[in-house]
Amino acid sequence: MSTIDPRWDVRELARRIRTREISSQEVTDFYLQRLERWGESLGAVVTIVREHAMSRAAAADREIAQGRYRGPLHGVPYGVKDLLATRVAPTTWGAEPYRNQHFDFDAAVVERLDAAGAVLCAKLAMVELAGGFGYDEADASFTGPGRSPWNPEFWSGGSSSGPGAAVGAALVPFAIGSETSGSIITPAAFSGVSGFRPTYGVVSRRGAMALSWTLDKLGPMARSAADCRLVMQAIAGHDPADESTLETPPDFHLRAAASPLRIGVVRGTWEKAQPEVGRNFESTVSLLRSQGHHVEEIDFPDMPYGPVVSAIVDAEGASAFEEILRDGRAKTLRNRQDRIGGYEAASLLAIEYLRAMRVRRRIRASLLELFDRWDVVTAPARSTVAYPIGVPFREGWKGYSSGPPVIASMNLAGAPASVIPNGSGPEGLPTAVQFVTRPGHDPLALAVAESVQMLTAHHRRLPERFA
Amino acid sequence: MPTRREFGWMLSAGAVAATVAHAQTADETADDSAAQRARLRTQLLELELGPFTPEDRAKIREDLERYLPYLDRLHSVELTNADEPDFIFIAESHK
Repeated sequence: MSTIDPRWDVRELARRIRTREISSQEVTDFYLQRLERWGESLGAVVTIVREHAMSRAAAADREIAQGRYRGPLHGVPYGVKDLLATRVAPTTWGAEPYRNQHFDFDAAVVERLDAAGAVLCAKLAMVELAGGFGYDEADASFTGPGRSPWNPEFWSGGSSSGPGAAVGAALVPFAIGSETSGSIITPAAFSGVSGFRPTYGVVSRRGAMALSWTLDKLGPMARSAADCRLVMQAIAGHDPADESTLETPPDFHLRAAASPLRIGVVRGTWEKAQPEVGRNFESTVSLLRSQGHHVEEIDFPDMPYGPVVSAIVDAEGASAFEEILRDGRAKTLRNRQDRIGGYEAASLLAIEYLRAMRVRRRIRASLLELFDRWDVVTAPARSTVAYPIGVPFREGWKGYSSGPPVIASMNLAGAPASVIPNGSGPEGLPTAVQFVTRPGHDPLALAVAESVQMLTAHHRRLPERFA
Repeated sequence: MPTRREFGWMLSAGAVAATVAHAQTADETADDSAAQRARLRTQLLELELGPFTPEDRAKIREDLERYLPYLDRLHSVELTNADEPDFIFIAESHK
């Protein structure tokens, strides 16, 4: 048996599995052991599906031995945020009211990964109901807080807290998370992994928990942007059962040309951020300039992004979970704010929701104009490193500002974004940068991140404890 | 102290200082109108989805009192009759 290095990315694993230097069963058992050893203490895991995974890995090995290689995910282990339906294990949505929920079908993303030969190893932890009811501290899941692999006293980010922690500690080579407004970008940043939020409608949400029908997206978290692209190749595509999916999604097999580009650096996003965040971001911007891109500071359109995204998530979320608001099960949620937040959200008037959706159209038009002038917009992924566990978020890191809300605004526009680690900050915690492009230009958002990772090594680091 | 929505915005936007600054402003300027609206909405909520404990009722009212002025920022963009919501209904003939 070969020695498996947890730093290997999907491409490296795939090469060795394809050439039968290692078997999928060896790789799968290696990651299952890591999940079993560290998954619970990191608050990263809900259910480990060992028997299922080893059976799938054995099948992959048989197929590969017979020359029926399916592609780079064949035989590669992975985990999914526990908002994706699976036959093999309960689907809890991270929330007490749904702790024993079972589905007799697999989510579309799980079906697609299954078809690509990937091996599902675990249902990963998440903030209850994907954070839709306004949680105010890290402890907001029946599995407890997700912990950053870089320092377990700090949060792994949310709401895809389990995928962040699990990929960050190399408990799985890649995972699927979801984002309504920040739930892939934040845990990727706080856990020091690469992540990708696709354009709205690129990935089918059939079988995924709904929080906000007009905002929810599914996407990968992995050790590199190149790995995220491999996963996108498998999961992107039209699905007649999800009317929001695009008829013709971007082709993730083509690696978009990444040079020279017009790159806009959003003014106000790093100057008053945590000093290490600002410095690391400036280094990334310098690197982009050295690659020959035209890089300029830009002003972000001034629009009421916060109230719009809040109104939409509140109205759609309260409707999506009306059942537990009416029967009182919302009051069994873990986080104190979540126990009443859904009720507050339900107080929104129809006219307020509709105004938010009308303003959203103006916002989208304004941001599309921005993309007429700039191929890529960049900013720090978060203005601080991960928040400490055990205190309300607002008391975690005081006195820093991220300026214009790039995450909220670009989610309202349905725009894709890649996020990659770009250095370290206080307490040994990672910092990160995001690259956003026009909706539909997903491969470009990944290509820029890949080009940066070709010249840097932040994504290859693994916390010593997990190396 | 930021309300839960303000904090949700902070989470999505990372605008820590801006949010806290706004919350303080909202605290200072929360007028009778916001208080009255919050109280009435809490009553309506309780009729529709209650009952609430006294502690929850007070917290909901307090949060809404801060949230409603924040939500009023939706009016900072002037809309006309021609401004449609950002979703499209498509009439499709099913086979």
